[in-house]
Amino acid sequence: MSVLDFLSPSLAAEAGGFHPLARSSMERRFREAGATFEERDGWLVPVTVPGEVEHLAAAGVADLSHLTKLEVRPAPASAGAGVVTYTVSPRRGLLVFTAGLADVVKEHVAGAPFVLDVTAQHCIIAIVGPEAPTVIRRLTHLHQFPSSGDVAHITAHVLKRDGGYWIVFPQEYGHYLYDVVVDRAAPFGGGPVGVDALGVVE
Amino acid sequence: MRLEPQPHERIDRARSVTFTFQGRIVEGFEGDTLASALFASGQRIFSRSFKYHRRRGLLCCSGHCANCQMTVDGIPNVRVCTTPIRQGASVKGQNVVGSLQRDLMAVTDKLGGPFTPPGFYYKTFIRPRKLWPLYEKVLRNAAGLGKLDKHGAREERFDVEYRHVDTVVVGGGQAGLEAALDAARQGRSVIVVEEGPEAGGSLLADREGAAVARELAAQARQAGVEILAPAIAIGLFEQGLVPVAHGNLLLKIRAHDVVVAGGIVEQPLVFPGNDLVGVMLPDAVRRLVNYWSIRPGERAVVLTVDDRGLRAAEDLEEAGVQVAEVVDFRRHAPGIVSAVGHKGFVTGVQLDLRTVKCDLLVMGGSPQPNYKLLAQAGARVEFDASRGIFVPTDLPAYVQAVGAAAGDVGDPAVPEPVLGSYGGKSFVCFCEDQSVKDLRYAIAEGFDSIELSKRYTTVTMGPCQGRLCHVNSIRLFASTTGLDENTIGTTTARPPHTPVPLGLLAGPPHEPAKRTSLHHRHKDLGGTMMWTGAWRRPHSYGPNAGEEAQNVHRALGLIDVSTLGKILVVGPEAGAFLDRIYPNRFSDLKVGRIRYGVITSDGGRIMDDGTVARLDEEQFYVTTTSTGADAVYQWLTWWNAVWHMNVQFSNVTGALAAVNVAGPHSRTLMERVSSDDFSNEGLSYLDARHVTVAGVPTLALRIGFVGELGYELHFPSPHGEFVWDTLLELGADLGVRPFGLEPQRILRLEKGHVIIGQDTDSESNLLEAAMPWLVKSDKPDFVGKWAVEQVAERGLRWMLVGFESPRGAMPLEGGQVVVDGRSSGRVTSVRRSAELGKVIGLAVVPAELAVDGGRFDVRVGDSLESMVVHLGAFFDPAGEKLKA
Repeated sequence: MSVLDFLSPSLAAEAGGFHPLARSSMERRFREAGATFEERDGWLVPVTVPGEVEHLAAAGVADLSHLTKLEVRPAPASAGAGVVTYTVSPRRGLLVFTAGLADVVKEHVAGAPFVLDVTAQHCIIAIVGPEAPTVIRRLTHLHQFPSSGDVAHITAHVLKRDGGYWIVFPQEYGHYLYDVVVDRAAPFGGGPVGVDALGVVE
Repeated sequence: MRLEPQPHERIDRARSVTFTFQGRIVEGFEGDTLASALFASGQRIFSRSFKYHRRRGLLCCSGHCANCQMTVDGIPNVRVCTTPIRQGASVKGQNVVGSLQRDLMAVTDKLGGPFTPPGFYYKTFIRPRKLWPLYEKVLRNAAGLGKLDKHGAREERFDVEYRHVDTVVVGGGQAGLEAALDAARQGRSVIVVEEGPEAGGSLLADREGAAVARELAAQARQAGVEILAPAIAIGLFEQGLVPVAHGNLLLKIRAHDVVVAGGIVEQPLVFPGNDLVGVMLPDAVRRLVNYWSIRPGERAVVLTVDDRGLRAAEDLEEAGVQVAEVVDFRRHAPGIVSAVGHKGFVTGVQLDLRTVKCDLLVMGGSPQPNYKLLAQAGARVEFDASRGIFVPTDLPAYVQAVGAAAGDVGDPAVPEPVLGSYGGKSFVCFCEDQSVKDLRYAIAEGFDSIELSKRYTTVTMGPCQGRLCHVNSIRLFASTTGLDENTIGTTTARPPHTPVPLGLLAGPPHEPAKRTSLHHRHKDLGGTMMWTGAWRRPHSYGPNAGEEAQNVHRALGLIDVSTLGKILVVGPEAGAFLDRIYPNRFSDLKVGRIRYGVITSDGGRIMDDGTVARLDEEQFYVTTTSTGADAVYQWLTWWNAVWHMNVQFSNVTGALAAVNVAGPHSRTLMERVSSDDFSNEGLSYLDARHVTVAGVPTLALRIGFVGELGYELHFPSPHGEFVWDTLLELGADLGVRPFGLEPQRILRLEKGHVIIGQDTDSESNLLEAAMPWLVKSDKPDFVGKWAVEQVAERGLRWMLVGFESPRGAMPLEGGQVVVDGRSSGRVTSVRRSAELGKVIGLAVVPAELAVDGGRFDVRVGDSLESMVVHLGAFFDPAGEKLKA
């Protein structure tokens, strides 16, 4: 057991009749949009949302906060197939992957001097669709990706992924940034979508 | 009068559009502007001038002047000459008492002159002084532009978008399109910004030019050029930043290169009657004829300094207008020019000794390159006396000017600054109603620099922002003072290049609030949310915060403290590092133990406080105040940039939720949600233990801010609602209730616990904040050590003490401490404690009063109330409940 285990939502487990469930800070907003949730890897994940087909035709906004995230110092070159690796700086890297790859990734980074589970620290908003570039331009001055900087007046990382963009940002801004992103997508017919509408997240 | 359909016209006669103008229905066509439709319907007066309320008609038809400003759908100051017609619009004149036709305020034109010279409000309406508010009200109502409807509510959406391209071309005329095409063919990404409804510029006013323009635009699009129209560049800033107004969208375009192809701004000629209705610039006439197929008059005289007027004359003849005379100043410049009018409409023009009858007078003055954006970017402008224009020079490296904007305007004649006169008003500044006489008056009064004169007369300060008056005013200045134009110089060009709505600059609203993972639960439970820095936190959950506090004493309370800053300090030298940062010591802290710490600045001032828990030999878990996390994180990293110690930091504030479970039943509840040992032996006061709460990995800190037995649970944020719900559910029979910030403040005050920033300020130090026990002077050094030593050496002047209010009077926080009739300190915190049955607080008082039982007065309302010093905790001073 590590003294930093209290940072890892993935270590929550059924015990003594308790069934812990993790929620993204955008969960309430997706619920208000009528989303259907499923338990996946200990998280309540919004998997479908009414109107998502129409939203995806413009700019679909999805919550990928349940993905596992590790901060590794120094930044690794890569961490294997299926792992999104973002070099924040030469001294800091961010790895994002599905829970099923956790053991493989942890073995990959086992020798790194500093590895921290930051899954709970960050939310991820995915914006996908033909109007995704315009939506991003209405959120941030950043234009070469991946990049970090001001996104709607908070500091975030923006990665180009899955034909769209991921915004990785502090979870305490989940409610706020969801509102802003959906607002920017709405004039084009965009809106919230479930994670299943995005297909496989790699 | 509409002409017969022309192949190059822009209107679609198959699609009629109607709107109302001052209550009457006006019909136009798709492709019209509001102004062209009004003109075609017979409307000739479009506005009343700013000061004199003179009748004004169409002058430029290009969106440059203020002559056509009207109120459209409640929005004032809309230039209808460039506003596309739209179905159902409601259009009204403005700045009138009565109507555009009959404005009662026109009396100011007849009588006001002697009373309204430049700066008249500094001279004429100043006595008696006490009547100035009345004068001001009258003057403001008498002159001006449109009025905002104070009671009108309008929601309008504005957006901001960031763009990055290689080249932005400002101006979509021939020169601009050619420059864009050239850049695109070199593989550059290009945006063209055109202020008209379509690209083409002056080509569109030409009968054959429209087709050329459209072909050029098509080629540009095919080459990948993006053409934005209508779109106006409102500034040109360093590093290629060009903000563009594109409807309600503000585009912040960052370009490697900027090409300015803004063409020219036709200048009026200055002569008596030059503002009469029916006096127009050549481009206005050409647009009326060629864009909208309108005959602008029956009989015209054309005055021109170059070929533009000649082309206008040709178009007029094609349109069936009788062109009575064309005066080309290149051949012969008349000595005297004076427009003659009747009831504000031109009826003829005096040329030397002749008068030529006309109802349309076309005046083509100097073709002034549109240099304002270039000047904003830092270019110089030089006056070319041979052509009577200012030409931009010394452009910044990333800026290029092409076409007429660069000065490529041929060889026009240079008209006299004032074309002789028999009298009457010769307007230099149409927007502000400033005449030749006014400007000469100001110069005679000593406003002898162009910048001073501008501010005194307001010339160039109107809606046109100098487009139609800057050159003429400088030339007039030159001819009056005997100085040359380059010596006089130009006024500073500032953004915005054209008036824009404030909403466009403001953009969409943002309120980046931080919310804990329990935010919605607080609202579900009736919490009243408040701001704590950028965080939203619950103030309380019901009307009685005192009761919420008492429930913690009697039973059990839960408070969301997720906002606490949380920083990991990790590494072989982590302990030694913390010893340097904090006045007290942490390197000797045992694993699994917690110690309170206060961070001081280099000057020994209190910055922040929190707890430090040692997780293992090399890992420490530091908490900070809710609003101090980022500052403390920066402080730590900044100091290590100096010391280069083997330590790393990670700000995990948002990663963890934190809940304080406090009250006599808290142990019982913890034993229900965890199989770990929460006994006093298993988890003693100031212990930190890794436990599992309801299946969630948790760091449990046995600390107590609120004075009762309590546990502060730190666990992953995503499990916030789950853990909170579980605690509430399993604690229901124990009387568990949530409590908010206000009851927490009462509880901590009962313990005499300090809140940094509330009970301390930027000058507070540990010694005078009653925390000397934190200072370990035997350490070789720590940040602020020397400053603390200075305080000890000079002696304590102040002290933070607790107090009770014997009579129950409640001073205000910040209230004055009064000693011997002098202000001698302040109350920092005060509350009524239901548990203790008294008013208690903390205050900064003179050090000599800091004795138990000491007395001082505090101003409460108009009287002084006596307070009694109480040292130590008010509630459970021995800490028995905390350590139970």
